[in-house]
Amino acid sequence: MDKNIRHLFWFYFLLGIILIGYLLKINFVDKEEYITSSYNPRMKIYDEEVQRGDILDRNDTLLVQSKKTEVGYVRNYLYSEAFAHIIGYMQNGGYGIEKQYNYELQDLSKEAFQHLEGYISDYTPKANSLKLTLDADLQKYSYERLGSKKGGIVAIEPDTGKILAMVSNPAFNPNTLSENLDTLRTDDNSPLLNRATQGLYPPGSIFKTIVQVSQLENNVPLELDCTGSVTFSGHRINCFDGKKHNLVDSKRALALSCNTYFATLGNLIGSKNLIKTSEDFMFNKELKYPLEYKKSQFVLDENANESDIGVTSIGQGETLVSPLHMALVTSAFANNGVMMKPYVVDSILDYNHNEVKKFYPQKLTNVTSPENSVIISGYMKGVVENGTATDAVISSSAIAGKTGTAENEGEDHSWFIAFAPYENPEIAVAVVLENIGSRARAVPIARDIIKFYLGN
Amino acid sequence: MSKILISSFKYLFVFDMLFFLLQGFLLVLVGQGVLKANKRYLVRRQIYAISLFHILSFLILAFTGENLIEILVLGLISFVDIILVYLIFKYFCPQGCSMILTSVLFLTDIGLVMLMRLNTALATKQLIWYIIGFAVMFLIIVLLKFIKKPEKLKYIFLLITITLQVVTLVMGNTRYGATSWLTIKGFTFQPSEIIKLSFVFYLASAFKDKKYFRELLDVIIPCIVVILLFVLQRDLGSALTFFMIFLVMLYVTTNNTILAISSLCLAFFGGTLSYFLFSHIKVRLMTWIDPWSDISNKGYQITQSLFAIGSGGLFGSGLTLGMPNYIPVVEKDFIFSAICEEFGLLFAIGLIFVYMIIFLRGAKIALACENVFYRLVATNLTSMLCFQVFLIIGGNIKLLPLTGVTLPFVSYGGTSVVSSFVIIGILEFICIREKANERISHRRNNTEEEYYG
Repeated sequence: MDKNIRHLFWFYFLLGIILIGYLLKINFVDKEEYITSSYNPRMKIYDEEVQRGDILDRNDTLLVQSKKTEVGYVRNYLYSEAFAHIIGYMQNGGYGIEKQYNYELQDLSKEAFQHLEGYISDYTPKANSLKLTLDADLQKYSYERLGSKKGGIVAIEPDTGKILAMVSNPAFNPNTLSENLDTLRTDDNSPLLNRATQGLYPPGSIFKTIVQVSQLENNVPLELDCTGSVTFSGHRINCFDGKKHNLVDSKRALALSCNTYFATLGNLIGSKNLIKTSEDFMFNKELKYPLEYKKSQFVLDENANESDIGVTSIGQGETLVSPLHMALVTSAFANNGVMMKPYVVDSILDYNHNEVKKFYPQKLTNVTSPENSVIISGYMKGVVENGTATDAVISSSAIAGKTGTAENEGEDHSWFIAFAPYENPEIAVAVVLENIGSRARAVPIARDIIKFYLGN
Repeated sequence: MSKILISSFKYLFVFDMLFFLLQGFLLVLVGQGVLKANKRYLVRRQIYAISLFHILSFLILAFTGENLIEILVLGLISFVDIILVYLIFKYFCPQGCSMILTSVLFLTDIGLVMLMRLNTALATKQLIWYIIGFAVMFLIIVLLKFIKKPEKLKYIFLLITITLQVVTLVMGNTRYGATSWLTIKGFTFQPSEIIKLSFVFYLASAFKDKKYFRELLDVIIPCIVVILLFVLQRDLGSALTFFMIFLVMLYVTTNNTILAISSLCLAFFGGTLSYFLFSHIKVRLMTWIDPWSDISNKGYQITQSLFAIGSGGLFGSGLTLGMPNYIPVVEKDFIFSAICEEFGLLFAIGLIFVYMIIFLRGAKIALACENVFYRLVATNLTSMLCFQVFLIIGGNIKLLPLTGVTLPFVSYGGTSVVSSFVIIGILEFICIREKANERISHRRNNTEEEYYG
């Protein structure tokens, strides 16, 4: 009996350890996911007792600060519309960095000491600040370059996953958000919507890059004589402008964006394989992005008919993507098939702007093998050199990219995904212009953004 | 100004807890013979640690509270109470287990401080219950030795158990879905706390002489009846606890692991059955798995608990600086979450260790016990406390679904407090009894040696 009681002794100890372990787990592992919920009453109250921290860009340029006024501390967004969606706001439940990093922006790094200092010198203690991965100059330039056109832009550093710029237009002025909230909410143009992460558009031809990865992975070589269109069970798919491309191989097909080639190719690859490759590229999957976003969706039935497969292979059909996801796909091609986890906060700083915690790049997934990735990148270089994106050529470095014209209920959307320099990529960009028409107007915008970034 | 005080005291509280636990650890080492030190000195240091905690907390409460007089009076009375209990125990129960006593003193003090912070009216009532509890504890230590052969009362214990259950079933009030409350002359209490004790005594008497499974049939039937009666009352938390105790008895007496495991499987089967039979079990389980989908209604309590626990950090937000009041029923079931928020994770982990001291000392008392009946009683009571703590803290942190039990010595509740003290009283009694017997047999051995040379 003694032995059994001793066993119980250890059992009690085990139960205690389980409790402690789980308690630690929920605090260190799970906490971030839920603590910013709007049902947590703490977030709002702390704001009044502590000066909210600043937000800086990667070069320590001040983007947001809390300024003292007669009515207390007021949040001052120095760059208004340009950073509106990604920095976000606190009102109306909150959005963006202001909401998801609320805890950090109210946290005091040396609490007791700061309270003491504050008491002696009669000021409110200041909470920690955030240093972002964003490049303020690039962001400002991108926003201005977008002008009045509706759409989204995402620029990522391919080997780290750092977000360099994220723009969505139409935007709003966060400094006057409270007053204008009702107008903004009912505006048909949805200025509060962050098109860069939560806008879902059909990808159009940019999807062909993924189809070609599937081609390589499933070993489906194809050479075709393009007559301008192909028909599947009565449904005809045309090449752009009805052009006849004649003899095309995979490289030429991507450069010229030949619909006939890809619709045929898709059917040879088969829906099952297309589904697998898309999911390798994180379609229908969580992107592990810390702020609000929508997953891209790839919806194709395993037993889909030829026409549906054909249409999906040219980037139409039910497929919907976000600019963020497309930028990640582009950066994966730029990074030998390795897609890094996207992140916006580089480090947390204390009230004197000294670094307290740094965040490091993390791999998200291998979308394909390095060999395949290099092949497709080569084809994308061809798109710019002598394909549909010759407008993107700049003198200082080689750009690789893919154009897309996405049909939808209104005017076509214009897509362009690109990375540069080809040999040693420093930036990957995805630009979508909403309902702008079919004249590839996203191309010069992306080109100029890349040129600006590399030039500086 | 108070903010500075509170933010700096945070660290003192954690240091204090660590200091208390360290003395406990040293006491264990001394007991094993590994370390040479004066036990009384170590225990005294634990009392200093509790006093420090008490004074610092009441200082904060006095600074931030509304009714200064009330706070100071209660602070003084509870402090005197702690010292008094320690001294009475030291001089009148020198053979008792002092580690259990100091742990209980610390727990009650933490409970009192937290309740003062949450609701001073409840805190006052709780203090009265603590004083009554300590009195009951001493009473039991003194009176139990007059009951010579308690195992003979086996059927009386069983009778008390079942009678109380039937009475509650028929005449009881239903709260939170379970019919587990009884009101006599305007005084409401939970009979399950009394039933707990009578059942434990019944089990110890019944299992005392058993060794083989076939002998158990006359025990199993009444046990099943008792558990089923709880199920009928829809007090599934109690049914679960009682079943666990039954399992412990089975394992300890028959040494048959297969039996224990097969009973466990039976329990799972019973559990699944109850899931389908009782709608409120279904709700509890669903809420446990995903409280976020109904965060404003059914999931509100557990999600607020998680917010509170997550917001404290390692050292807590500081006493009175958190917002535990958003958790429904925080003074009873969720007081652990409030402690996590304001005193921090490190302190809360320390709290779990304080409970573990009680369980481990209880197991040691059981092991040292010669009398089989008391050995089983000690095992039962310790297991019961352990499961209860595991169930309630587990429920607070969403490790387990909520089961409606309270955190012993800390949660608000007269019946809970008094019955916990009864358990401690019985454990201390058994400890003292064994030490006294040891002395007698030691002396007897020595005199024999002298005699036979």
